[in-house]
Amino acid sequence: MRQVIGIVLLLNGLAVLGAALTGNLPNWPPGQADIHVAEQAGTPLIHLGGEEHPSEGGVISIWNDISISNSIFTMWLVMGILVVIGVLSSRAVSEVPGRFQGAIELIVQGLVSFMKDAGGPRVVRYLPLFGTLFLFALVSNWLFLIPLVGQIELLHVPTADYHTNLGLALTGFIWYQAAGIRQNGWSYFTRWVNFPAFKEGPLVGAVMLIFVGPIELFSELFRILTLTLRLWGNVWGGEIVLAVLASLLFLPSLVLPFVGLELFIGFIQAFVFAFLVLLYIILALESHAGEEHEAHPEAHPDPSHAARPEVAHAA
Amino acid sequence: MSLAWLGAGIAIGFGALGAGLGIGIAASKVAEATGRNPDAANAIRTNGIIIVVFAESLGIFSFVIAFLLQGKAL
Repeated sequence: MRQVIGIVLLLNGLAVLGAALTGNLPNWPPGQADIHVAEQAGTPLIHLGGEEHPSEGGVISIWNDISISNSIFTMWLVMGILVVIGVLSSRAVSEVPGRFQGAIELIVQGLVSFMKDAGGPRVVRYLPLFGTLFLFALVSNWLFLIPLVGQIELLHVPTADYHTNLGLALTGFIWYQAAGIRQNGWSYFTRWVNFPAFKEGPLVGAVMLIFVGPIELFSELFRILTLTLRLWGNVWGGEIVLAVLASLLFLPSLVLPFVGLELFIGFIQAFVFAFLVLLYIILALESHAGEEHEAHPEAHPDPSHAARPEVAHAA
Repeated sequence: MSLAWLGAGIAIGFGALGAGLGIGIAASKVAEATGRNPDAANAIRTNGIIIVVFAESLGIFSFVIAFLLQGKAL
């Protein structure tokens, strides 16, 4: 144990010495901190249109810069990794799975069983969305492990760029609205414009129409924001924490526990992102069924509606 | 302009305070529930993580706001 600590300290000293000799020691001389903190958003690699430097001054801009940024490039790499793994695992599917196919099957079965636990068998059809969001976010979050990602111009962790997360959140948003409309038809819109509530009395109907409807509508839009910012803040903040710790302390290996923490956070956040989209899908599918259930208890003798735990309203 | 830095500090400070309190309360209840019913530890842990994330995301929002304010002050 003592030897291990000694070796670690020696390696740290050598790293600091090497950095000092090559002039790469951060924060030295004091007062000239040069910590390389990851950018909030990707920087354009190929400029296609719009303004050249739209986000100078820290203004979050979405519309006025059309370019292929480094996070888009890295996103293509992530997509390439996932597609290659998918093709390799499905090219020669055998009855007795090998080690690689077994690992992939374990992942997919884990996702399917989780979806069944959360929303019953009928949400398994949304496995492509759920699994893609989860795996994409997971691989993106874990990209920071690879050296040079986030440090050089060409590579930027995709989920540390809020544009990517906004795209993912919008995909989930459109998907769950479409699922709700498909399941419930026109009655899906009574979540926001609840005219049938006038049957309960004019006061109830007016309250539902004036207060509850707009609040519901606002919370729908707020879901996009929270999904985007939760993932982005965690991943980007984690990168900043790692950069600051690696450069402030004169013991660079102290950053290693935090690398483990970031691995955990990356997994949890990818999982939570996908799970929240799944939860919104479940809520959209059940949108109107609950109220009908109360109105005509004998018309829908489906116990699964009532038995399902509703963690979701915390969202 | 330096007031923006003050605002950034206040934002992350109070945001972290609230998020920390919330996560602490939720985690203590998770620990209690696990102790009372150790068989359901896995389900409790999954639910606990999902609930804690809601509190955590508020802290993340304050972090983002603090960083935006800090960028404004530069």
